[in-house]
Amino acid sequence: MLNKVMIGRYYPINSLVHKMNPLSKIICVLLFIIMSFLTFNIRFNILLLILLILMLCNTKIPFNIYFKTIFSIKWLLLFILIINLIVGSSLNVTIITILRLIYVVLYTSILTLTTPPTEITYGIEKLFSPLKLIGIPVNKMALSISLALRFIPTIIDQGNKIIKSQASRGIDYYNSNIKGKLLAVKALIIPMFVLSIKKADDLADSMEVRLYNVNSKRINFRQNKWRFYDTFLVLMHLGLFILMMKEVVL
Amino acid sequence: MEVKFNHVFYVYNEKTALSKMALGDICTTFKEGKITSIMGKSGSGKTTLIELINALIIPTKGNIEVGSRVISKTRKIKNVNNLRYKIGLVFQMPEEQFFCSTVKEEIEFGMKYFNKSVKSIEKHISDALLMMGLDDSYLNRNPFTLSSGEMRKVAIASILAFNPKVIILDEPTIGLDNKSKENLIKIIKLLKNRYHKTIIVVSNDADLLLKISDHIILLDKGKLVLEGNKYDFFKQDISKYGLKRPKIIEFEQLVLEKKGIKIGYRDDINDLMKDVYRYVK
Repeated sequence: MLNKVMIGRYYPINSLVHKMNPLSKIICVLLFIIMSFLTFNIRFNILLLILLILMLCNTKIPFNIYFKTIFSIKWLLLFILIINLIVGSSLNVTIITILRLIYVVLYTSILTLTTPPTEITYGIEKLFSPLKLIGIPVNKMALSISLALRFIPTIIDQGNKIIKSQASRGIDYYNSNIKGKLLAVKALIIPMFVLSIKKADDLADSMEVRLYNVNSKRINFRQNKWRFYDTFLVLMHLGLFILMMKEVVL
Repeated sequence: MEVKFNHVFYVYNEKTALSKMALGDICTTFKEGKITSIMGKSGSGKTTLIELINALIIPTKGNIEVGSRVISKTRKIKNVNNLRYKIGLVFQMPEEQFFCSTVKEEIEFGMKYFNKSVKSIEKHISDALLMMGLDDSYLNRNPFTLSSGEMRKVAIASILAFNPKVIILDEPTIGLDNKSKENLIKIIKLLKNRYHKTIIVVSNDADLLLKISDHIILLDKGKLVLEGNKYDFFKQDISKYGLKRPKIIEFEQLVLEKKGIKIGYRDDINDLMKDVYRYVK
């Protein structure tokens, strides 16, 4: 069950998008999300689709991974479709609403599939670093985010182990009826919390014994250089954004 | 019940960039009523191999015969619980396999949900605990608050309680003190000799394996590289696979090399000491 969760997973291959600076990727994602949510214009939607396809091709990640990502939100898409039909929105609006969500999920998954969680934190920290000037503890926020991201695979692993343990003693999540499935999920929640809290405690202790200080200046293990490709993509997104804003405002 | 591997392959994340071959072309038999041990460095595929026996994962190629049942990718297993009822698997990390709030619930889980009519569940629970050297005072305790040794014992008791025909123990001695280790060895031997269970032990503790095993297999990078009865197995040089031979065997080899005296193989160091004493006297 949990192995199929594709959102938030890193896919380690070598591509142009993988080499990009995390900061530029986050800026592009933010601009893309704003653009896709602001426009109802078909021309712009086609432009966004072309941009999205170009980016997807550049990641060199097999397309079935992206299809899996869309497939994992099928119920949400269905829900939006039903709500739109009930409310009585036009077909045009319904299609664009669904397309928007697909665009956003796909573009965000480009970020998560091509950037390790620690690098995403680095990007967020850099993006919000001007806020330090007005006294907002950006480094503490970045640490919280990176720790939260670090625990996602741990919790998934833990869940998988408990599912296996249950299966070996009579309740197989995959091959049982609804009652069995509910029982399996119910039994999953408590130990996952208990063990996650225990692991978080252990992690806090291990950071403390290594004299971790959140306020001290830190350097990065990886040097994230800003390349030509980063400038090009950010400018391209920015150009599209300005063009679209002009269209929306005027 | 016999377990037979026929050219079994297992690949994690098949057909993706993350694909990793965990097992390649494994052909071996775990004989009924015998204790077979699996050795190998970490990452050699030991845990994957035992999860395949319990159908927790399905081989990507080849098949596994467990008694009259066949586990393979091409044929869907009908009523998988029937198969798992006959196979008790104790995982490597006991604290990661618990999900109930008391020891009692943890032990009775297997008996309850295999939908088998087990008479006097309470008695079975007490017997299983007693077998592992724990008393009834543990029944209402939270398994997560136990020490690692006690957790291990509860994990084994929860498997023994539903009386499986095949018992698989993944690194059973980690976290156990010497006395508990000796007790576990006695229990494993009892299960084999009195109840004729097929037992599979995954461990790198060569001294333990010499005491309990009939047959040993060695995995390296997902391949079966060595197998044989324990004496033949430990005659081989296993240091190239990053493993150590039992201390008794090392000592016997040393005496043979230095003094030219052939002692003959012993499982227990006490027997060996008696022989040496007799010889010196």
